[in-house]
Amino acid sequence: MNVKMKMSPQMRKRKIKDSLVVGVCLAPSATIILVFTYMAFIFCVFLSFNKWNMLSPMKWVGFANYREAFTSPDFWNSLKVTFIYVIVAVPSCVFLGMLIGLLLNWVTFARGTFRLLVFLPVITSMVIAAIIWKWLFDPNVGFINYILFSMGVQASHWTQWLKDPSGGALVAVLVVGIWKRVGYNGVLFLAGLKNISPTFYEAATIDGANRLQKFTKITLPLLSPTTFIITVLQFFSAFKVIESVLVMTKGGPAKSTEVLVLHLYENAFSYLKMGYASTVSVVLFFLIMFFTIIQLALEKRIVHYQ
Amino acid sequence: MKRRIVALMLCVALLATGTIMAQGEKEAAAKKPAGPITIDFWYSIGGNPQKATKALVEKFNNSQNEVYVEAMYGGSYEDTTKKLLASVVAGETPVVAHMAMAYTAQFVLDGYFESLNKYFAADKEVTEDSFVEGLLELNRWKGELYGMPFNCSNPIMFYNKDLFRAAGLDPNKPPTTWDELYEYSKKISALGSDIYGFNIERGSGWISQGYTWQFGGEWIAPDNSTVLWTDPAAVEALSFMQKMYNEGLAVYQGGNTMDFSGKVGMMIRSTATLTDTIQSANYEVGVAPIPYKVRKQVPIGGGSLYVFESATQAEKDAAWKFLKFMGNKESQMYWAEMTGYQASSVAALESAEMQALWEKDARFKTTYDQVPYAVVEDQTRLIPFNEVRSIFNDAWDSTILKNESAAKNLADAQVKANKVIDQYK
Repeated sequence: MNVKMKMSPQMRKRKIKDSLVVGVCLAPSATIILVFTYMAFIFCVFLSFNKWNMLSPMKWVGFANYREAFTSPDFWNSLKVTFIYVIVAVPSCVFLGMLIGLLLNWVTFARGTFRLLVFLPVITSMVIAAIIWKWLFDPNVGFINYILFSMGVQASHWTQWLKDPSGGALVAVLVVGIWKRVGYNGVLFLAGLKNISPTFYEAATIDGANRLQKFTKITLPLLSPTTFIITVLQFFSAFKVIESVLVMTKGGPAKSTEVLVLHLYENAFSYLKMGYASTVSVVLFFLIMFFTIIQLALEKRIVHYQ
Repeated sequence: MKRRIVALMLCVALLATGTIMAQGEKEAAAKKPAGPITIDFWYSIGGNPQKATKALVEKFNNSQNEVYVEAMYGGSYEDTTKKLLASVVAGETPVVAHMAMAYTAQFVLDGYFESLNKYFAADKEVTEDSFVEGLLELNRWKGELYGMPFNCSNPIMFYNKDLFRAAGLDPNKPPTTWDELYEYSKKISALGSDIYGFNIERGSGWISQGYTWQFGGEWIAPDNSTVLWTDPAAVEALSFMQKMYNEGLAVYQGGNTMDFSGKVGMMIRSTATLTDTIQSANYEVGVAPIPYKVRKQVPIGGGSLYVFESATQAEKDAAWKFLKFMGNKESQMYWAEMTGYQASSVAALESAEMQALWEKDARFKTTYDQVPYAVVEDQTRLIPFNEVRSIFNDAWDSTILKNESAAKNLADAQVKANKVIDQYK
């Protein structure tokens, strides 16, 4: 007690100084997050119970927007498109990312160059990339069809790509999304691989384990924290995909690529239905939260830490 | 410890400079000369129109010293509209905005635009007769005029004279009816597997709506109570295009890629792209009025200049001077020549310069030949116009790209569109 009393003025002074420094340094980003994330979110929930076209005053409508959403075929369609996108994009991004990580870890020459090549799509602006891919996918003058046709592929509705409402457009959009994300995952996996202590492999070699055994018994389990975090991140970004779709197809043809966020965006800014759009975004919020909780619950079971 | 103090000092310095700079801005604003009144003007459409608008604003600023117009490019019509919505919510609207007629309905109905009636009444230099007939009607709501027609257009047919010659067609005799166009397309597409007779145009909704008219149909009831897409003529228009697409005579594509590639014989585009097409296409460009089937009728499109109601009276008076300038003979003549848009001023239309332009390049005249049967899009006064039009576009997409029944798709679309319209009744 006595000792504490003696130390306290100095300690208190230090403590105040510390918290002052922390406070001042955090203030700018805290303000931004508070205003543009939390306040925006609360406002969005409030808006979802209103009708508002941004021009006339808001009108409280209760659950009418939710009713409209759940009875609208367009909403269910966009939900379906989003789920297809997520179900295809997330595993592809994780699997291909891991493959890239392993390859990057394995090559012994021109490492920098390979890493640069893999990472290049990640730092390219999505809008610019989407514009370029749009040209590549052009059914008449595009490079992809040029290659396909010269390889003897027959023209079909699939080779109409962005103009094919029966799947081609969605495939094209998926290709761009995966291409854009996969490099980032590859580098994260590479970091994860570098973190695994070589002693495990040495021990396994002494025990006479083969390559496959080493991979399944050591690499995969010890990589699982990385795999887990990448899967969670991919879920977020796949659910929220919009730029590529907006630039490449605007949700068409015939709504075949209209993902949830695009549905929300169109309703907000083209049809001026801010309330309805907020409703869709609240639904999206709960969807993502639901899947995140499931993933976190699974974390304890399947993730192994070193 | 020392480091921490330095960091703290840096933070304080940063904050301080921010405050000082903000103060500086305030002072600069206060010190601005009382002379010319500055008004903000947000405009749309890139490319040649952007260059021409910029040049006109500069000319206006140099021509007098009472008003200074600060022009800001807002992107496409859609982007500008989004920026304007944000500005409305923030309470920081510009004084003058350049918008497409199709996007203005809710702005007008909620009272965001100043009626121009009293300015027309008070000003002796300009009357409503100074504008080409019909163009002002686009902006008249219940007798009140809300916008000054600035860039007006109707779609025209562009054709590739080189392909016409190759197919043994007379390059000076473009088709005048849709049946003729079908025959021409057959001959042109026979030139090669990657050569097409016609580009149907996809995505704008404006042109396909015109097709409905030319086959004798209507797009929407005059009182906007219901869309009329189940009309046999509307179905026939779509079926006709579907047949052209299925037979490989036509492509269904928006944008410039195909149109400038030289692989398409004929295409319908806005006259607004005339200068651009002539500059960009690698073939001899011919221009003709749009073919018809039952009746000749084309939609008037384009944008107008609107003054925000929230501006001060002094700003509004300044804005009127600017609007008058943008609509006068010289400006509209310059605008028409630079872009291919239709001139909205009667004086420009009748001027010697315009005659000289037509003499020099007769292609610039086509859009005016269509003026007698260019029709106001009454649906631009439909509040949920964008939503209804996107339903129409989706029906066209499904029919042509999935090869589904035109009648069924249009019937389904009609039900869906009317549901949307009912929400606003």
